[in-house]
Amino acid sequence: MKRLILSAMLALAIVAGSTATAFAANSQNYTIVLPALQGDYYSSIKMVSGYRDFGVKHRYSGGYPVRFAVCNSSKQQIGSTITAYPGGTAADLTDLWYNAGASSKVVVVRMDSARLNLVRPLAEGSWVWNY
Amino acid sequence: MAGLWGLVSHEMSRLWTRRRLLVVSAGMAVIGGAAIVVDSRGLVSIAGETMAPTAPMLFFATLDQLAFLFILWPVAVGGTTAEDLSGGLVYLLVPRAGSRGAWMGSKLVAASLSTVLAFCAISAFWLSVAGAVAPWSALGLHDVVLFGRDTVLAQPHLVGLFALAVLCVAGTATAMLSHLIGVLTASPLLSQVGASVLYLAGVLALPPGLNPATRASMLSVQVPWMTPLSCAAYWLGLLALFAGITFLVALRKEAR
Repeated sequence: MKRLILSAMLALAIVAGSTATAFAANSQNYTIVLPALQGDYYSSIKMVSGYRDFGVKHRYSGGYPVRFAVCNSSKQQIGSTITAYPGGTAADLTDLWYNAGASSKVVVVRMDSARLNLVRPLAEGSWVWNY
Repeated sequence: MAGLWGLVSHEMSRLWTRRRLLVVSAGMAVIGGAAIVVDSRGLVSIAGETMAPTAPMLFFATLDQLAFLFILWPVAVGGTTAEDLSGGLVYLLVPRAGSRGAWMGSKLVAASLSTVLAFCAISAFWLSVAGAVAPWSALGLHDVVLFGRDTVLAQPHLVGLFALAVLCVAGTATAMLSHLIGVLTASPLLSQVGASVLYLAGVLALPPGLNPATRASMLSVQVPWMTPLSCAAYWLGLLALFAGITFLVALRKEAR
């Protein structure tokens, strides 16, 4: 009986470990000079698994707020427009979009400087997805 | 003194019968109002949590866009000094005012009053639009507006009024830059377009701490050096500089 319980626990650990690896969140840093006059910038494409979230840790943008909107591969908006203020090195994770479907979806993120300004703020942070 | 106020009244009627002043002000009011409506449909992230923007958030974010108006403000309220000098009106107005100093004083007072009137009207319109599309609440405001953070939760209207007062000084400063170029060149076109071009050059070339667009965006730019007093000092300094040189040049010409 003891051997059976130990084997079951070992099997559970192996399964949990492999599953955790498969569903580990992805992240990627970004450093972008945003266009002036609220011009749009699109991130590179990301693959978001079913029932998983896409978010951002927005660290710096010269003090300016930045607007984020998750779009599909055709650059049509599929998430809400969210204005985020720079949070510094310990920036909180802002949830931008949840993939409510079972299948994976390819997304890009549209960003703009949220202000009708002439300066081009340097934006830095991290994309986090599949969490 | 009666001559000075007569000239201020004359200057005000000249400015407010200009179609371009009404067009620039109305245009900015409409653009800002539309931006408030569009932004009200989005969300704001505060410490990782998202929430719908409140009316003060929308209003403060849009009030910062007034800096954009400064590019056109010299064209809207400037240029009358050069018009007086080039058209010979100065020979009628200066004796009526008593001195060139009083004549220039009427320009400064009229530019200030016109700026205050226009900016208050635009702000009132934006406030009413923001109030119509979003709830009145100070919730989360201190996370969005670092400027005057200690008072923004308790008395957001005080922060708004202070920012508006600084913007009025800023608008008057850009108008005085036009009068300065006008008193030097006596060219109406150069005094108005030149001031706009100089403002634009300052926006594009100057570092953030000295940049006029950044210094006029005190409610939505979150940087430690953007304190209320430093922004007020920046614009009061520029206004004193432009007005001082304009007065000196005008008085020097009178002495000749």
